[in-house]
Amino acid sequence: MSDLIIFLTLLVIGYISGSIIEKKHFKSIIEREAQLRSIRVIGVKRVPERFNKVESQLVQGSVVISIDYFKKIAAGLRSFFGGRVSSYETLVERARREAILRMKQDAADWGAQAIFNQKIETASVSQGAKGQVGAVEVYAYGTALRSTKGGQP
Amino acid sequence: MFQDSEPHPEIPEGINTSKTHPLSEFAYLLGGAALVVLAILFLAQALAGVMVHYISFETESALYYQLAGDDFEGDVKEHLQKTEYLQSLADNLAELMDLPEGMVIRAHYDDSDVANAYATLAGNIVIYQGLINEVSSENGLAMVVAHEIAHIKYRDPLMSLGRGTISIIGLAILAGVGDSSAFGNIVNITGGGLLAKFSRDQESRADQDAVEAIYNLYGTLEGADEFFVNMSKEDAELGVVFFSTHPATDSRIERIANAGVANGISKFELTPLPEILSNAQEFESIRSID
Repeated sequence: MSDLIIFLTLLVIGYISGSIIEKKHFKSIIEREAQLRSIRVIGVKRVPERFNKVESQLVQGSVVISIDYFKKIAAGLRSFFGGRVSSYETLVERARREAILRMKQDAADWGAQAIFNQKIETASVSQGAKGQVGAVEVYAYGTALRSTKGGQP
Repeated sequence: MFQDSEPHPEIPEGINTSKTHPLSEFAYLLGGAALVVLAILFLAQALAGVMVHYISFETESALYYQLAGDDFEGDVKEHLQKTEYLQSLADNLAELMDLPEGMVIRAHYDDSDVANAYATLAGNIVIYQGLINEVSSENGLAMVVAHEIAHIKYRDPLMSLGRGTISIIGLAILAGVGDSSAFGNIVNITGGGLLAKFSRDQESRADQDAVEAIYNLYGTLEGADEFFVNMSKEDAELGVVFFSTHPATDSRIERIANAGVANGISKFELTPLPEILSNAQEFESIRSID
């Protein structure tokens, strides 16, 4: 009986705190994306030749986001039946967008107008260890470009 | 660099996430998991029921003593008189209870203060001093003894062992496949409730048989509910019936009372407990919750 009460309490706390944090995070992501939209993020490796007078620098941003207890249980059940693990989808989406935002912020602070060769790495912090709440790390990096004085990119 | 070009277009939201509400998805998953667990347990119950028919009481006894040894031997020597009394009470009751041929009841006495009694494999039943302290007449004690004999009659200890083993294996596989301790938690909770229900059914059936035997032996049901009445007087019912392996005490008292009404019972003299048992009354008894 006490097992059930503990389990349900953790579940409810996890769900409520998880939802509030997720909602706030998405709101903040959308706002900051609008602010940093002027910085172009481009996947190509080579900078086109017409951008001849530019400086370049590595910019990067990383984030680690943990799932809540509710998401963990939902994903655990999902791993039995199969299908879209929707509780992880929002988690990974938030982590990816946050990492890119931090990278863009890094670029913006330096005064960049664009980021080329953007790459993303991900890692699972708990490495699937049993009984541990999983957390995901997303690391975004790229080459930021800014015009030099008198340059005409 | 890009001063003359349009900025990045806004990416629409919700492409990478699903629109189902997490709670409704969770409810579906939970329901599905519960169904799987229940199916495994029903299967275990059915398999154990079949298995019991293929294991004779003799085989059960032989296996039990071979594997577990005779744990009760020491107690018998130490409490010879009490054991003999309990054995004769059990024999009298067993005669009235239509036991299958070859089934032998062995009664045992345990001097610990726990208010409990149990039936186990190979026809062994154990009565604790703590339980004897809770009854004032033989009628009350006989009700409990008859209840335990009924468990033996229906092969409940073997049935429970078989069901328990099969369901533990089944659920362990399930929890392993689910690869999450949380899934195991859900399994335990839903599974525990059903296993307790199976157990309550066994208890009710045993109560039913015990009531009949008591009536046939004493000609009255007066005093048969003594143990349950005393327990319910002193303990508030703990926990929820769903998780309890025994029926609520009040409902057991009621069942005995109803059987009495049906049989048109009037007041009878209660049979007193023998001296050898009641002289241990000074023990403070500790009651078990389950």
